[in-house]
Amino acid sequence: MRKLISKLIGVTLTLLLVSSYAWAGKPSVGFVYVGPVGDGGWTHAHDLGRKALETAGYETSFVESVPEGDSERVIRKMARKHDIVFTTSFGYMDPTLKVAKQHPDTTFLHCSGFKQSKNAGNYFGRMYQAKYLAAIIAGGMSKTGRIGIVGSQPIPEIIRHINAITLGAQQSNPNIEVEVLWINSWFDPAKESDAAQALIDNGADVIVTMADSAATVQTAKKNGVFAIGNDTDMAIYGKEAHLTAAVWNWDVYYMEAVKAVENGSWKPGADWWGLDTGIVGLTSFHPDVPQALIVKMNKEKGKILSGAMDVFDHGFTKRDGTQVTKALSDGEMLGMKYYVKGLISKAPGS
Amino acid sequence: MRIFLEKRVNTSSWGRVLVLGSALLLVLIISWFFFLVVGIDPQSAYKIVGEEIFLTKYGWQDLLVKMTPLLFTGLAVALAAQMRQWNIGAEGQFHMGTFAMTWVVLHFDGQLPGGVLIVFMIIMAMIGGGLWGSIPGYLKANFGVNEIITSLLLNYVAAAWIDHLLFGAWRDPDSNNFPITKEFSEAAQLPAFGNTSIHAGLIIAFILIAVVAWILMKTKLGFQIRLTGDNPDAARYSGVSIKTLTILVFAASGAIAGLAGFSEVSGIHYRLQQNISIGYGYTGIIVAWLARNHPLGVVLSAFFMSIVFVSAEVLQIEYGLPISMVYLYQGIILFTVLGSEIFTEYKLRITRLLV
Repeated sequence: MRKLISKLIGVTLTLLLVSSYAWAGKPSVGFVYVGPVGDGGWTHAHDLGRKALETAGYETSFVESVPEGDSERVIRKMARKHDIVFTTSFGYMDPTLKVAKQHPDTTFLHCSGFKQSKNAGNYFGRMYQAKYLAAIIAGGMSKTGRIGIVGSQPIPEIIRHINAITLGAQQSNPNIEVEVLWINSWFDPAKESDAAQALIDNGADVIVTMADSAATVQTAKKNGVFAIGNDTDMAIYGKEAHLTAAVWNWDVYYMEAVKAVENGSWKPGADWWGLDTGIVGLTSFHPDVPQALIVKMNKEKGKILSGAMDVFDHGFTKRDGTQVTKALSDGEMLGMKYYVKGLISKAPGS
Repeated sequence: MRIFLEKRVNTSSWGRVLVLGSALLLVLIISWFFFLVVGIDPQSAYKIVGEEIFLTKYGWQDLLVKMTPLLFTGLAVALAAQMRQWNIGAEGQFHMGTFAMTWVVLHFDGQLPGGVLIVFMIIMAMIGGGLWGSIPGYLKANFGVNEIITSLLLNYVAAAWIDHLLFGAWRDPDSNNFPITKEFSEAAQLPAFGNTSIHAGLIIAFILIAVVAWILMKTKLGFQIRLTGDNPDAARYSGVSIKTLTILVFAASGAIAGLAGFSEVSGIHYRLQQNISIGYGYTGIIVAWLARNHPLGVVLSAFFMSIVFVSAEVLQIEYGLPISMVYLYQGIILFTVLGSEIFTEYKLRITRLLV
């Protein structure tokens, strides 16, 4: 009996301690990743954001390489351990919402989706703006007048980026041709390298990759042509070829979102942050990029930053010749499945 | 001195239990050293992993959810293996099952009452998986084409077919054109138990295992299947039509794998999307092998495999173990348990050289 009482007291004390910690302490944050943190691309960029939270004194943990079809269990485990859970792949959307319903006291943030609930929101960045700016450099650096794109999976996000690249490159060279080869994968160095090689063989001398590995940069270096990196700075894999990279800086968003939850001001919504927040950006340029080209790019950048212009807000021609005159809504951009004029490849499924 | 393996004349069931028990003990011992090497206190690791998995309701929920598709695919592979046919294609049959049942939902959701719709989905999933499975069966029966190769290669075809639909005709415009179908209505969803994710697919799996076990052990058809596996010549002389039986068994095996797809889509995801199967068809081969192709053994080995899967995140979350180390650890466990099988068939003999 004495044992039981002392046990009960112990349990009560622990509960008190735990709850007081929960009130006073900083929220703890969990991350669910689709790839390994060392992928050098998408997941690596998110993990840099997580590390920024750690530096700021938040307790974090992560699980890497979580298959989308098997993520619900992992998300649930993270929800039991953390106050905030970030899930960073599109396929985690339904499981995140399902778990959010079961754990109403945890805040969930899902990257790249479109569903919300009382305690679940989503977030993304306007990467197409950074791709557009990088493509101004790419278009100016191409001597053959052809840009090659290593496409990952043909989802609207990537189609949108391909269109932004084409429109950006046309700023430097109105007659530029853009060819796309799909590898139907997010991370497959061998296929990425094969696709890059085929694009180069077809006459492209600037290759833009949408996939996560640095294989495209390495292949470009081997062939003596230029490449533009994806998601993180890929210059260390071939600085001779690396013009620049359009990169994610997730730390700015993660700090803001976690602070909002901490001080109680967080509300579920769909955050789609732009270039002005710093969530996307370009890395330093190749020394061969002429100053005039950088000035040109900076002019466009200034227009986007001031809100005077966005990539898809001032009309363009679709690949099939139809004119778009009105500015696209966020919804139209998020569901994009057609190509713009200038692409010599056909959009998948069209 | 010479060490060699000698074939056992026969293996008692106690011998099997002993071998399996020693293998599991060996797993614990190897894990101990593994944890030490990666800098985890082994005692706390056993305690935390054990508590997380077996002492919380979440742990049990995860185990049973994970186990459900493995019961189907394990049973599918085991059934064919009873006839010494190797169905490496459960993965593709799984996908064709999801294809056929999703077709039903996209065309009849909202037009049929809930129960009828589910039954229609089940039947179509079985037909989808069954027809896909009968292709290697037919080629084997009529032309002697190696079923391992054909069933394996058809997996890639099935996965590409699903991708083709998801990136084309079946993609949902209301979901920003992502490669996912529209969400199924409640009528097309398998009921779940309470507020958990455990769903009726688990019950279907257990019923199916009982039925297959009964057919194999108690019926003439089952006897013919086992006889053909043990001694095809004897079976032929006794009047068994091996051609028909091969196609039938492959179709049945494929139908069961197709049901795994039905159970996952209708019980968990409520829509067809990419990566629904994380290799359940291939894991089914390990499940069947561990179960020595016995339908009832599939229950135990599927349970064991789900422990292996579920403990992976516990190690990652609690100890920050990188995924590569987790894969390595899982590999060691599987190798130990599967490798121990050899001692049920052979015994170790140590003799002095007589020369």
